Amino acid sequence: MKVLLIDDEEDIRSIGKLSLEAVGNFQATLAASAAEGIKSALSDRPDLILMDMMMPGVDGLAALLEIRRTPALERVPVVFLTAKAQRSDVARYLEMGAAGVICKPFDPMTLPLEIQRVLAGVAKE
Amino acid sequence: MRVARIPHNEQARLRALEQYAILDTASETSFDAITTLAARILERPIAMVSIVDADRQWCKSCFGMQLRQTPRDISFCSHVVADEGPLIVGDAAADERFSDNPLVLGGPRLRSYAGMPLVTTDGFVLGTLAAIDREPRAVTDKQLGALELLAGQTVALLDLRRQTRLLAGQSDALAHRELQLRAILDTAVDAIITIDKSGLIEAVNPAVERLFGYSPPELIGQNVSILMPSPHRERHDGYLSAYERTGQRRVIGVGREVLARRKDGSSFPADLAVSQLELGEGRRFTGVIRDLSERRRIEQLKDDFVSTVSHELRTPLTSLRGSLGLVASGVTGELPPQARAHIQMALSNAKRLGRLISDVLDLEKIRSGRLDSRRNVVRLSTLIEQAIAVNDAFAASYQIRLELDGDLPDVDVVVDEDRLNQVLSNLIANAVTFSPADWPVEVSVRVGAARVRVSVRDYGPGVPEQFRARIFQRFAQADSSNRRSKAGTGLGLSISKSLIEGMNGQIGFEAAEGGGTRFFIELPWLPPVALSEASGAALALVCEPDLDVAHSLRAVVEQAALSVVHVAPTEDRARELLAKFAYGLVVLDLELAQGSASSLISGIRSNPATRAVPIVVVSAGGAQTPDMAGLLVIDILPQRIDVPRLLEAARTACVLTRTERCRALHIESDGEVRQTLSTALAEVCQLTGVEDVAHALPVLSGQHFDLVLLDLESLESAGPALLGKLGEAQVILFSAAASAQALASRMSRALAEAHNDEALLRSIVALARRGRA
Repeated sequence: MKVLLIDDEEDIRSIGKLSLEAVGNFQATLAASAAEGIKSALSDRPDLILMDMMMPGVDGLAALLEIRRTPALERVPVVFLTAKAQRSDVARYLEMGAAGVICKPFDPMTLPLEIQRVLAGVAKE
Repeated sequence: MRVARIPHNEQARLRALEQYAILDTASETSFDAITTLAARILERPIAMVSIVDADRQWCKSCFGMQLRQTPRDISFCSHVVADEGPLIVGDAAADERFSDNPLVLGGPRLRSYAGMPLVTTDGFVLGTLAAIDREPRAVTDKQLGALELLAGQTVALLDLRRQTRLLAGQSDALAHRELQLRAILDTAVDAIITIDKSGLIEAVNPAVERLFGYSPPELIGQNVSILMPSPHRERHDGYLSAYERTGQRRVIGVGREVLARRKDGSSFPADLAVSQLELGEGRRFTGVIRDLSERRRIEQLKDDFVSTVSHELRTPLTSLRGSLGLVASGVTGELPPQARAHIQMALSNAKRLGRLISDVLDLEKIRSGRLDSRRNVVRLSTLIEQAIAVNDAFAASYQIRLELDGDLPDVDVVVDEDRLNQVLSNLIANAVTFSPADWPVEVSVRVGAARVRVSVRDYGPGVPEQFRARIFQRFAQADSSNRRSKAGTGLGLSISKSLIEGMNGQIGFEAAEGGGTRFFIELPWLPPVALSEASGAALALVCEPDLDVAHSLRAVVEQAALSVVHVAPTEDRARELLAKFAYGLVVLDLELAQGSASSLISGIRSNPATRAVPIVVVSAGGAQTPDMAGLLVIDILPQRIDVPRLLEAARTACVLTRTERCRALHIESDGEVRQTLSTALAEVCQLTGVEDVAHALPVLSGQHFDLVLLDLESLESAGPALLGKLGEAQVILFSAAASAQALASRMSRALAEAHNDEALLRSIVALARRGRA
């Protein structure tokens, strides 16, 4: 399964990649900004997008709207990976079409498992 | 010569004399008039008012002779003082007491003397009024009587003089006090305003101008409501008259946070304290207003700081924890044992730092009242099973078993699930941390009359005596050198306490019999509704967030002979139950879920199945013993003219009142609006229009109406007078209130004003009977 990780912090990209590939058996693609991520998604067609919320330039929510408006990507589940995850925030993200929210700081040993859970929920719907 | 003896009460006499402060004062015409008169009446060349001091006699007034003072020993007056009675000497040369007196032998060469004592009301002799001659003379009774009268006048003069002096002193002191008070008022940082009982401003201090921008002349005589923003601006007169009528206090005697309005129209947060004065010509109120803008600004800065710092800390922590987690797990390659131990140590501290940041954020949110919390009706047993399951692995890592002691009862609680889980996990984690290995931590549940208690018991060393009092304080840890306590942040119990209290519960602990400690939480509970089975009995639904109030409401409804009463403490629960059961009556508290009451009403009315359910709107105001008033509400409409919805509401009123075409009263100031609705609703109701509440009251007294249409402002301003007259009439309420929340709180106030649970009971009983008929 292919996961695209979009985060402006290099550390997080590197930890995420290791977690996704070494702990889970995913194939990880990385992007440092929303624009780069959407470009990569269009060519790479990931099964899931894991995205930071607060990024300079286009932030996570704007990127989500853009992804939902792009016909080729509209069905790709988007999961937010964010430190801004108060209950009211989470409700808003889900309302806007996010498939799930994973809080930072996340545990790289359980991140793949959490992604599986979100996907199982999406599949049930 | 015989020297007069000193009187027995001389010390007291001298103190009394001192009070008059007469010695060595200038001459005064009123005293001179007395001595002149005495000399004339007694036909003597000399008369004097003489005061006897410790060692001299001193003349306040002396007629016919230049004499200021003489030594006491040689004075005739000292004999009057000693004997406390008049002294008559016909011929001093022939009197052994005075024959060799220097005043007789030389100097003025006195021969005869008639002296009358000056006696104060306390009985002290201060001196004499004396008439004197250089010839031997006798004195007649008439003359003596006159002398006595004049002596009395002299004392009266002395008294008058003393009182004038005292009064002058007091008025000086008063003036000084007044100056002090004025200085305090003038320099006070807080604005101080005095109003009369109709709300007109009588006095303001200088701080008022600084805070509000109005100069004192612009304010004196104005209604104090000009210092308030809407909606209090329009309603303040109503508050005052409601207080006058009911004596119910809202702000008086207690501080309250309010918005105040400046001259330029801007508003600022302020703390208002009002006190009531009853002074001579009637009641007054004094308000002290403190500007809170600066305090709010600083709090905002602090909140922002905490939130930013926490977020900024989390970002690097995510990398730190993630990297350590990956290295520790061996994903990046096998580590030598010593390195692995150190990485593990770093990882557990990174995790702890993460918890600490979350806890600090939680505390900050609780403190600022911004913790987002959503309470639902939840089965308690499910939550406890979850809490045990979630913490099982953690307990096992300490070789501790988590055990359930006894059965889990079937009760529902109204809580924020995540937050209750957080509290239970905190209690369990604490118990595990302080338990000796291989001992159990026991969780048990006990159901009381109104509250359910969940206990977590450990077999640890117990809470040290000196730590008990501050165990729920922030950063409280019994012993910072204790290795185990290092796992915690010292914030858990403080947060748990706030969270539980936010859910109307309590937290506490006690030493357990047989050793160890038992921590417990107590929450109000409600009996679960079996959603699977529909009941055939007469059903009522009470929508009330406060379970204690719900209990009283339930009793009222049960009294009205509805056998089964369900309680919905949240809007979600109410919707769930309404979808499941057919209710004969809905009692709705406006406090429900912060203003969702009106959306619930429109939900009920728009569903064909529940369209005709009678709804009694009450206001319990969150009080333990509710002051309730009921209003039979058909619908609450945001606009005055919404013909389709009004038609629908009027039809519902017909169904509820079992009439073909119901009789309705429409209170509305705009004649055109009255005409429009009268035509539009003609098919279902016969509409009588009046322009305001004053006109409505006599009409309501004279006729029966099934339906009343009015706006919220009328309800607010009319208060109990109108509510009492509405009786069992159904009400359609118009309200342009900006938000559901504002609407609910305004209706609450209007209803609370009526404060009449008799009326509520009557409405419920009537509806219940009608429902069964």
